[in-house]
Amino acid sequence: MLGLTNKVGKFYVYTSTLISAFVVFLIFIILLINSWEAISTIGLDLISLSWNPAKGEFGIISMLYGTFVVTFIALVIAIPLGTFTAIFTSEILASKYRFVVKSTLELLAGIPSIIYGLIGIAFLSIWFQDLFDLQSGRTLFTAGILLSVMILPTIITLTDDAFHNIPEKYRETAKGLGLYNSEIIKEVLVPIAKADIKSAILLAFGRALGETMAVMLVVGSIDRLPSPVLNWLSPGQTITSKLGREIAETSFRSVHFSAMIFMGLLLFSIVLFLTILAQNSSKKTERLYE
Amino acid sequence: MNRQLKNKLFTYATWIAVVLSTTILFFLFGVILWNGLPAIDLNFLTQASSNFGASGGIIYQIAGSVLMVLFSALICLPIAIGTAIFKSEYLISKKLHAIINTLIYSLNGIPSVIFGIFGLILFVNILGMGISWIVGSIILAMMILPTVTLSTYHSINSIPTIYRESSLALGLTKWQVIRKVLLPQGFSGAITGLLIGVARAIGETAPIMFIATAFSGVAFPSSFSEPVSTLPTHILALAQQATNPDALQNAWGSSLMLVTLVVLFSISALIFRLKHQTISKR
Amino acid sequence: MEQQSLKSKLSVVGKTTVDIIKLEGLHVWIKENHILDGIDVNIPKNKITCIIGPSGSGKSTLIRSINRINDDVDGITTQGNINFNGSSILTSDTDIASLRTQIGMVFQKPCVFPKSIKENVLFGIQHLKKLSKIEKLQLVEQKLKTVSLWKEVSHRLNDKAISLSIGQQQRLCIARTLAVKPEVILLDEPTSSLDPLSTRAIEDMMVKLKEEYTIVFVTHNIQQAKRIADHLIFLCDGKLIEQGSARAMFSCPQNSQTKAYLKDEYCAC
Ligand SMILES: Nc1ncnc2c1ncn2[C@@H]1O[C@H](COP(=O)(O)OP(=O)(O)O)[C@@H](O)[C@H]1O
Ligand SMILES: [Mg+2]
Repeated sequence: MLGLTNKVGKFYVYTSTLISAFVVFLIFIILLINSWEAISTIGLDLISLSWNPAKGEFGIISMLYGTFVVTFIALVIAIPLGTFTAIFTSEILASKYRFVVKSTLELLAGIPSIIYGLIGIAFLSIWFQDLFDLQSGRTLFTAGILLSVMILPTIITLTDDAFHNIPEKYRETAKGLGLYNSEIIKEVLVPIAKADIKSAILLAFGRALGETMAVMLVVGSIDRLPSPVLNWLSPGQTITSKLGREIAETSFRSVHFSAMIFMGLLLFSIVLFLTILAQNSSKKTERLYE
Repeated sequence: MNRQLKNKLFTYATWIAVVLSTTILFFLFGVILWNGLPAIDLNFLTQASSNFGASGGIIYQIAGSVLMVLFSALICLPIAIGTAIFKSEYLISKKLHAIINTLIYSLNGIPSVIFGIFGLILFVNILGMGISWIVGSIILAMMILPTVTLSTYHSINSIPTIYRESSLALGLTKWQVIRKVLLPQGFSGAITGLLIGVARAIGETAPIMFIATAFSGVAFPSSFSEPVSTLPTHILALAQQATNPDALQNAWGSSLMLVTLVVLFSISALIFRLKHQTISKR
Repeated sequence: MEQQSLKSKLSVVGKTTVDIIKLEGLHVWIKENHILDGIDVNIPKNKITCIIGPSGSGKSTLIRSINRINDDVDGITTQGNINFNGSSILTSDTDIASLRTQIGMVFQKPCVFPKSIKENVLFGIQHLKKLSKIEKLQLVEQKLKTVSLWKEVSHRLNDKAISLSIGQQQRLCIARTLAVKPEVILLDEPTSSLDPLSTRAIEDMMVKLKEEYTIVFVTHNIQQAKRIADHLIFLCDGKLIEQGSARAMFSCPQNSQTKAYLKDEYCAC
């Protein structure tokens, strides 16, 4: 009797683990199978400029371009802003305020992305429309700015943790040698926290690439490259906004559907790669301390 | 002197960053409160929506959201606990441990829209379950699985080995040790993880908008296979009619309600964790 | 007996000792706790001053006030005055970083940076002035010789400093502080986590170093103080119980509490 419950318990535990472990594979396989049609029938033409299902053209370049432009704008703003803010919260702010600041940031990181989208529609896009005198304020640039705000709390808390985990003795020793605060941060703390900061940035990068709702609402959703190509104040499309807008209206198993899933597969692979990179990066720091 | 000047400039730079960040972050809260509060009253919270959401209330959206995350928690819990026990008590190989960790972190990193299309293909189309709220619950359960698993794992793993050894020495089987000694503590970790996970799941739009929800004309479901309406998808629908001031007003009201629910779950997680910590310290 | 000690005190003064640091009525509070209660002490130049006292008596707080490392402790209030070379260092316009290049510090647990041995020695000084490659190598060799580490590490200067033993790391920390050329070196129980051999090496080093530097050495080990101290400061419960020349205090302490502590390491305050 006892032996039996022991066996049932073991079976339960192993089954749960198998389920948890294979969800990722399952998602990958489903995406791969369903994008196969596009890969085999369209092939290299997927890497072209024109997306027009009616004519059987499924070029994803403008979506890729939009994805990277939006993410690039977000990171370029959020990384310096977030890192400097984290330096403040960890190294300059008195530690008695830390709990309040951390909780506020966590709260902000928890605001659902649809609400960021609403704020983007109701304020940001209208401001930019007036500010830059545009036909529509829904542009790649708007999406990038909104996205930078969304990933800011993530970057701040993770980077703040990275700094905060450094033992106090490094700071005191460097102070004892007559270094200024900025020198201590630059030459002692940043090198030690580097791997963790890198992993924070990689995670934020992944989040930005995969963010859907907010981007979808403000990016403009037009499937072509801006002209000139660097005119980011024009509407565009990202992989996520494309999927969000169109997948539900596409018939299952069509080439069109398959081409959409192919973009999903691409996004999935890139984000997975970044996540694994981030995880490996933060593991290395443990060895650094002692 | 030069070094001192550099130090000053650096400090100013951090101050500028902080002022900017704080302004942005308070603006966000301010906007949600300022626009949301006037929209909320008792009628709004207790009536069904009408006129595509532009008038009426959000009672069915609240119900739909809560129902969906509740079931996702129920689906997720047993799998998360099993995986956590395996990770902590059965798994010896370091390499396998690293692989499972990587898989868990990968699952956590997958963009939410990918979960949505995965659910659309597998559950709605291949398995023919149609657009129904239970599919949404299953997908959300997958999304919060890593959070709940890791939280459970940490609380089980933090139990000192001496408890296991002394129970085994009393003649308990491994499973009895797990059930009587480890699970009571692991359970509190699981609840903390679930609350955090649910706080995230209830705000998700992208994974459920193709597979579990309808935008209007939905009441409380009478079976597993019906769509519901939820707060986030309701906000999406209203945001797309942003030129209509009534719709926009209700979008803000729904947003404030949604944020309130998120905060409620987050704070419960925090309180639960703190309370649990003091118990284990005693 | 009383006169004798007075004489020995006078004879120290007679050798024209200059006090490089003077603490006048120093009070320190951390939050509500009164940690240091009106300390008046002098630190004579080119001598080894040992600060002794039971643990928790405020030795670290005292020594850490001297280079203002305590400034950043949460909830700290400092009152009174500290004079260094005749001018106060507790004013708000004191350049703290530059003060700390003149008053260096070595901590209880050695703390090397995750860099090479060579980079660790040069870590402080390279911010103060530009050094050529040759100057750097000379400086590293000279300082590592001073702390008798050169023989052990000369062939692996580019190895990570963490690979050294704890005793070697502590000597590396001292070399790093010496490289900055401070006038005063504060050491807070630098040997308490080391083996006896490394401890002796550091004690011998201190005696040599006092030719060039003023040394303030916190220890809870009375025998150690006996071996190296010229000047002795005895703290108990945040109060100064007695200070004076080490010889005089060890041979006939004025205060009964000092007497009890030096004899039995017991303090009833
Ligand atoms: N950061 C701090 N916060 C609160 N109390 C402190 C802090 N640092 C030291 N103390 C208290 O100050 C007293 C003196 O400490 P310390 O100077 O470290 O003594 P010692 O070095 O002689 O052992 C102790 O009672 C200690 O508890
Ligand atoms: Mg001490």
